[in-house]
Amino acid sequence: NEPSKQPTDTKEEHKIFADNKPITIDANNQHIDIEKNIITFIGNVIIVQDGLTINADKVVITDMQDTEKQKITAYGNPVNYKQILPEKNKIVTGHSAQVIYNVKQNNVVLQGNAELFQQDNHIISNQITYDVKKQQILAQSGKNGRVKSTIIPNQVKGTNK
Amino acid sequence: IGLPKNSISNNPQCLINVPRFDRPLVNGDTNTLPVNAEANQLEALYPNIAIYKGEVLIEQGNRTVQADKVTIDTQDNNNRIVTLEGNITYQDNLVQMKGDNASMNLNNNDANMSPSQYQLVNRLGRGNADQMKLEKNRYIILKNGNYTSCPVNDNTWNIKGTTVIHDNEEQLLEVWNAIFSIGKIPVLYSPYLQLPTGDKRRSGLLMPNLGYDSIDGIDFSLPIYWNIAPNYDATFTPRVLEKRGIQLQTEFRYLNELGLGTLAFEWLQHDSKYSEDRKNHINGYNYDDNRHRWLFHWKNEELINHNWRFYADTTRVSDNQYLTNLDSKYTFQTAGYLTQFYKIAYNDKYWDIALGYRHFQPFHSELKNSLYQTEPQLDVSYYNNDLGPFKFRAFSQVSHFLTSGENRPKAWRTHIEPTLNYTLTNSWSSLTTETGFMATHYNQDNIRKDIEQYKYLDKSVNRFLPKFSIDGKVIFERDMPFIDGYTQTLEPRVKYIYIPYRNQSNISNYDSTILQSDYIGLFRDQPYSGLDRIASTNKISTGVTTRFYDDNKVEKFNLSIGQITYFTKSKTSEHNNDLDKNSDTGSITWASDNFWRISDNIIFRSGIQYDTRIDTISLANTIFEYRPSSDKLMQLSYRYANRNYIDTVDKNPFYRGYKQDITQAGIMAAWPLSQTISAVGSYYYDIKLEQTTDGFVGLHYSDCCWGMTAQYGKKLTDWDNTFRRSKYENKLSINFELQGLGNNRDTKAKMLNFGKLPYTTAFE
Amino acid sequence: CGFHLQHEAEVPARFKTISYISYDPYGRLSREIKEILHDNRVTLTNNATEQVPSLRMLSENLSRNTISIYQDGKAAEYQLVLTVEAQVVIAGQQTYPINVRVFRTFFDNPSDALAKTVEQDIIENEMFKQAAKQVIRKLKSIDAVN
Repeated sequence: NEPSKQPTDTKEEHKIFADNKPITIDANNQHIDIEKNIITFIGNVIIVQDGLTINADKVVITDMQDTEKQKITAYGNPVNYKQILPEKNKIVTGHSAQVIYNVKQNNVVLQGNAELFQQDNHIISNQITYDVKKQQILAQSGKNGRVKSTIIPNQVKGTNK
Repeated sequence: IGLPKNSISNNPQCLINVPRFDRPLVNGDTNTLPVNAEANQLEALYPNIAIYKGEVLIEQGNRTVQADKVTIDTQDNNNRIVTLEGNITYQDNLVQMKGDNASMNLNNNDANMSPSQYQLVNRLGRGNADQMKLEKNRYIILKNGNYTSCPVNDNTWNIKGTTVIHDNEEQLLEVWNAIFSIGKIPVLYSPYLQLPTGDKRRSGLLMPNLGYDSIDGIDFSLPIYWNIAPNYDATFTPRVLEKRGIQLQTEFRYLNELGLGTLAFEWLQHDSKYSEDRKNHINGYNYDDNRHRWLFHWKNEELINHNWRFYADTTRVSDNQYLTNLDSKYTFQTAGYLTQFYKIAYNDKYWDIALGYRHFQPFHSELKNSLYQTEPQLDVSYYNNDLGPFKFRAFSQVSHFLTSGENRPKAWRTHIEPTLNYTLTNSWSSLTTETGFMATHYNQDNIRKDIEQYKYLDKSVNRFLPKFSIDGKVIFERDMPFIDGYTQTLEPRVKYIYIPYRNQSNISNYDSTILQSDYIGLFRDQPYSGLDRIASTNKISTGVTTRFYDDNKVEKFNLSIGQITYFTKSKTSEHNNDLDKNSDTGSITWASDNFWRISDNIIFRSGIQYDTRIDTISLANTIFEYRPSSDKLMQLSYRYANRNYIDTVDKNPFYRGYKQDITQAGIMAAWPLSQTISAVGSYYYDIKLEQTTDGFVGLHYSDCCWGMTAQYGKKLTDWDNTFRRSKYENKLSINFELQGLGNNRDTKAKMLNFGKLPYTTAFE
Repeated sequence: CGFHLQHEAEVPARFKTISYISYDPYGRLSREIKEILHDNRVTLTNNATEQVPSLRMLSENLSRNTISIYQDGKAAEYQLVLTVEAQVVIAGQQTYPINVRVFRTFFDNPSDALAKTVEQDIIENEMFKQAAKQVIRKLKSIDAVN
């Protein structure tokens, strides 16, 4: 991916706050559009927040100040997503063409041949919405696509264990 | 699940809409087998609860499921449930089920569906049920269900029941409150019905067998099958014989790790025709005064850890005419006598020890007092081959000969026969020299000196006979001149045998008779069976065998021809008894034997024996068989036996009112006429006697789910002494079979054994 | 006319050491087969390892049926058929079937039942010897094919 308009030589580290938890974003370079209130990071962007990590080629954050509407959209080929849930000792990983992180509602939408993994159980679909707090997933395949999933019965620890 | 070999008729149309399961079986713990699910949409409390919607397809191991909506709940570890709704299709390697709602248990593979319509996989068998359960990967349990093996739109028959259980390991169908109906008409009700559905159990569903017989009239039997335990089953068959009465046939089969066995008992309370025949002396006075007619049969073969063996083969009937009047599947209808035989044996590397008891039941009253039985007989053989080129064998036997005839001698006989064998072999020859001796002691009592035949007998007799033989064989070989790749061998063989003369007229004859000598028989040491007559022997047997091998060394043809030349007359006593009277010097017996595999499905075999003493061919037989497939065959055969020769091997047939050659020509064929109908037939004709010996013709119709055989035959049953001609019986038999219940593949074999001369193949 | 002494041994070299497995290792058939193998100096091992070819006797069936009858419907001649199924396994996986069938006939005589039964025993023993010879003879065709 070719360098962006404003080349900066050093790694930009940027801290913002979402849902009063710090998000750190690394990228080769970054571009801010103040009146439209959009930040764009380009070049192996890494977003880390608590147990969540997203690796993407480009990330656009909109309504940065307004915590209600704040949204992080990551683009990649593909975008890699990882969510660690220590209290449920579960790790969920996934990738898709686009990942949209609605910070306030704490839900993640993987868009465009998305895949989500938890141990050997995994789901393939056009779009997967993952509500991290409620641990709920909705996978829709769009017009004539299909949702595919694999579950290994005994690898599934009961939540009420 | 070990599915039984499907017993579908080989008519492919029947299988059009039978679901297939052709991929290799996946076996593994259902907890670890991945569940692959596909749908238009998935909602999950990931991953414990997953709800799939829209053309849902789920696969796990051998199971695939389609439905509108599927909920997988794996929260409770030991009760992981999958619930399915909306036009469901469930299939595994055993059954395909269709229904509206169902549930599956991921822990133990069980599934149930209600209501449901099911179709067995890879084989015929379908039905529906209010509620259907799959358990332990083995049982299909139907509530108010039914079963038929007919294809979808064919309702020839079906069985309904409040509970129907398919047990696929035992290959058994159990039905409670069973109603069996043909088309719409209920034909049979039974509170409980068991039907074998594979060939592991009984052969064929035990369907009624209807027949008509020119002597017995209508013959109807309805077998009832009872599967007592996995390795025990029983069959009760009430049989109505119009002119005789009601017979009950019972058979009990057992198979345990020790061995397998059959116990059978047939009981005919009162046989009206038999009493009538007895009154009119149809068969002269050859009648017993029994009121009931029964048959007892017990066959048992046990091999206990390779050494101990227990063997029993016993058949006994109530009277002499039993087998002529009532055929039974436990013995040949042509049997002239029945044997009751028990044996306990112990074999190991060096010893064969057997204690046997043998008793005979002849069918002619005159024979009852003349037959000898061995009660008991102990055989002990010792083998030792670890002596370099030498081999030592010692055969010994102790027999107690009993008979019910008061004026015939009884005897204890002890015999010991050690033999030292020196064998040299190399690639082109073998030379075997055997020396040994035969020492026998007799203790005969009840010797009636007043009877001519016994006047020379002594109470205690000792006989000692050395024996010597030298047997050499050379193998020559060449490439066949005009068929390249083929090799031909030429194997001349010469055997000289010497046994001195001992006068044995002081010994009665208990178990010796002249042996029939085909090519193999030429090289025996003794022309007589048993030990009571050991003829003086100073003879040489010569023979040559030629074999043709194809390029893969498969034997395509062999021809052997040989003869015996006696240097001195062979004798067993001074009185020129019947055994000795035609012994002579010079080349006496010739025999040849031939096998020719003309092609993969054509075989020709023949054998001839020539005896200079009766100066004609004593025996000749030839068989030609064409068998392109398992259900197409045509066999031509001819057998000749000269009457004088028959007299030598079939001593004192005083009870028979005739003397005959055997010139029996025969044809036997089985041929499919169409996809569903095949014909079977056989015809044997005696050329010299110009009369039919045996013959039948049969048709077998087999549809997808049922079949029928109809056979008509003419059987030679007995000899009519007053009119001096054979008596015949015409027999028609019809039986039904239901495909998918029991194995019906051996219907052809049963049909080929309809007559007195069953089919025996000439193929390897 | 081109005949020469057979130079190939009756038992091909490959089977000079062989492991022998049978459902009835001390039955009549096994005794005959072991004797022929002994005469041809074949060593029997019982550790059925890969390199040693193994001769396995799968089943034997001796059946008797009527092949000709007299005018009184009773049997004149009986036919004895011995069917033997065996298998040769080479290098642990290639298996070659061996099917052998021996036919013999003899006259029955109800008035001499015991002597006829003894005759049948003699013929059966000869049939086991013939079957054993045929099984061994078929080793050559397996050797040629393999």
